[in-house]
Amino acid sequence: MAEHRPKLRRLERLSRIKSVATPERGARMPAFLGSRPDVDPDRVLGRLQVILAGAGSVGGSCILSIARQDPRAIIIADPKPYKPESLLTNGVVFPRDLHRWKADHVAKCCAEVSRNTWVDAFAGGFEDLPLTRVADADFIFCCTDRISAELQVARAAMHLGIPVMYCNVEGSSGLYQIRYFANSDPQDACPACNMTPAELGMAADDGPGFSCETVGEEDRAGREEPVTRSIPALCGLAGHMGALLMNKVVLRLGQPLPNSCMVEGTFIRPEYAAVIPLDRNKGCIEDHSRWRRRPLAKPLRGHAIRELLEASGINSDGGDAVLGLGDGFRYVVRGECPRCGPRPIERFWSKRRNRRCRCGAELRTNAFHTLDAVPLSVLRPQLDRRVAALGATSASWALIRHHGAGTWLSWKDAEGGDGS
Amino acid sequence: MTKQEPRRRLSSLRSMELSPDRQVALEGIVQACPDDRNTPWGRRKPAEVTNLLRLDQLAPPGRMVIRAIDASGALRIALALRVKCPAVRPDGQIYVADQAELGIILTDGCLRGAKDSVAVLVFAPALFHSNAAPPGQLPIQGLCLGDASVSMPVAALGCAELVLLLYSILQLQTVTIDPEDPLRVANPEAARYWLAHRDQMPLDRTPFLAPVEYSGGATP
Repeated sequence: MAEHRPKLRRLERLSRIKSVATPERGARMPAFLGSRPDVDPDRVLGRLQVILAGAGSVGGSCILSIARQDPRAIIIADPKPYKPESLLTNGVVFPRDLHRWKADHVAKCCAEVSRNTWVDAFAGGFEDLPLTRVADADFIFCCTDRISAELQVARAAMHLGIPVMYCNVEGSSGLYQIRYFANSDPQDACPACNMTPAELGMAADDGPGFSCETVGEEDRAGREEPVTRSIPALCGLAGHMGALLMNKVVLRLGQPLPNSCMVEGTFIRPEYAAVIPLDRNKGCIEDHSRWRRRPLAKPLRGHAIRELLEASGINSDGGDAVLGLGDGFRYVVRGECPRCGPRPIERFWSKRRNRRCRCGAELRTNAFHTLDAVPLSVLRPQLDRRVAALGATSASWALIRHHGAGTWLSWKDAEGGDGS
Repeated sequence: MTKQEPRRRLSSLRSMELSPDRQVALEGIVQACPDDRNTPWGRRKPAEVTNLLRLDQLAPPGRMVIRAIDASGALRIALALRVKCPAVRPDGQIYVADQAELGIILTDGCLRGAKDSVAVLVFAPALFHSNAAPPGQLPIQGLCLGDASVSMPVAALGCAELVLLLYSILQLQTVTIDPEDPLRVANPEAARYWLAHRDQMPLDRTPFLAPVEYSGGATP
């Protein structure tokens, strides 16, 4: 089976939809309780960019609700297609949609119900979304079943300072749970702060296993991944509740929403509902650091390494800075040719592209001589070379880390392209 | 009266003071580490390096030689271990090598117990070991930690403990040799060979802290 490589795809607006009379965004907008005179909902929503990770029964309801409010842009990421069982829980799926990518279908629905929203579909995991696009978001929804995906979203949002809302359900008790992380302060809680060791273990088990593990192989080959066991009403309720609370956050209605977990269990006791504050766990294993964002004046590939260091305020003599490039580029110190033996490479290589030796054989890399982050001591002879000359022609961002602080450098043209 | 050298004990590893030259080396490595010292990974790396340098100090001369330590991203350690290990020459002749050149990679996934957070590569010799894929199959042979990785949370082990574990794996003290279980052995041919030559296993019973005898092979 051919490997599926997800691509971010912008949906074209259908002419049929264009011809429909387009109501004003604010035509049904109420005068919200707790609204501020300096916040114009129409203007805020007109600029709002939202990302949804996980377009299942909860995420689909959530984002469709938001799409009707006509935000500026929506990106929908989900790596899976619909299964027949999706009909049982998902309010936006019909038999004709089975086996389509969830991201594509929900994006199409969003493009139909909104008037001016740019909708992008990404039939892949959130972790594979271009980080330059994630960085533009004002709000992220995470509605997945996988804890590892929750942590991926949390890391990106924490480093870039983007508010995140997690919407989940527990079907047997009719319980929905909305967790909100403002990410306004790096000292605040992250989702991992309040996870149990068992949950963290589940996140670790989601990752690559040992290839020699008999049980693991059987699991990967045969066992069904976790599915949402719930009913459509509960999934829709969680999604809509998330969308409702996003309005409170972005329109700054009433008191700011604290980092909290809102739980309501319909079948536990009729009155069971709680709002639980989420506090930072000092022993949290996640890196809570906030990256400083620095825009570049031209595409990353045109910058010399020394210029990138200067842009992040680091003296190029400082030996303890470390450079990493985005979009799957890694620095290869040494490659191995099966015929010619080891060869120095000293360039950035995309992990998506195979390379060949001069003799024609495929050059292979090994984990020990391939660096995700390159220390300046390794790059020193190449400080005045451009990123493109070092092999990373299509990298759209760089991260320079120095003394525990990270500087995130990216470039955008007038139309929002990153030159990658 | 001459001062008697205290007996070397692994139990003293965590409390040993580093020698001045190792202390200088540690400071250099820690200085080059870009992580926030307040983060768990930022604290874990210096602790791992400290313990590894302590093990190096505790080990008899020549038992291990640390070639390089890079703590700028994942913790990467290149070291030579003086240990008898099964190897194969290009002509297929099996022999016992005296030394292994190893690369150890420890990523921050070890904090979460991720299975892929520890990797061990063998740069030399070409191992004929049931825990390592046959030479030439991969650019550089990787060493599977075998049953030890299932029974122990290897990701939670420290680098110093990992070096001791590798010492026993390379000596064929801790090894998987059941060729009927091909998913658990990386080199079934080596497993069959060593099953037939069980009388030669382990290749050596010399403890890690015992003095090193130099008898040919590569020099440290």
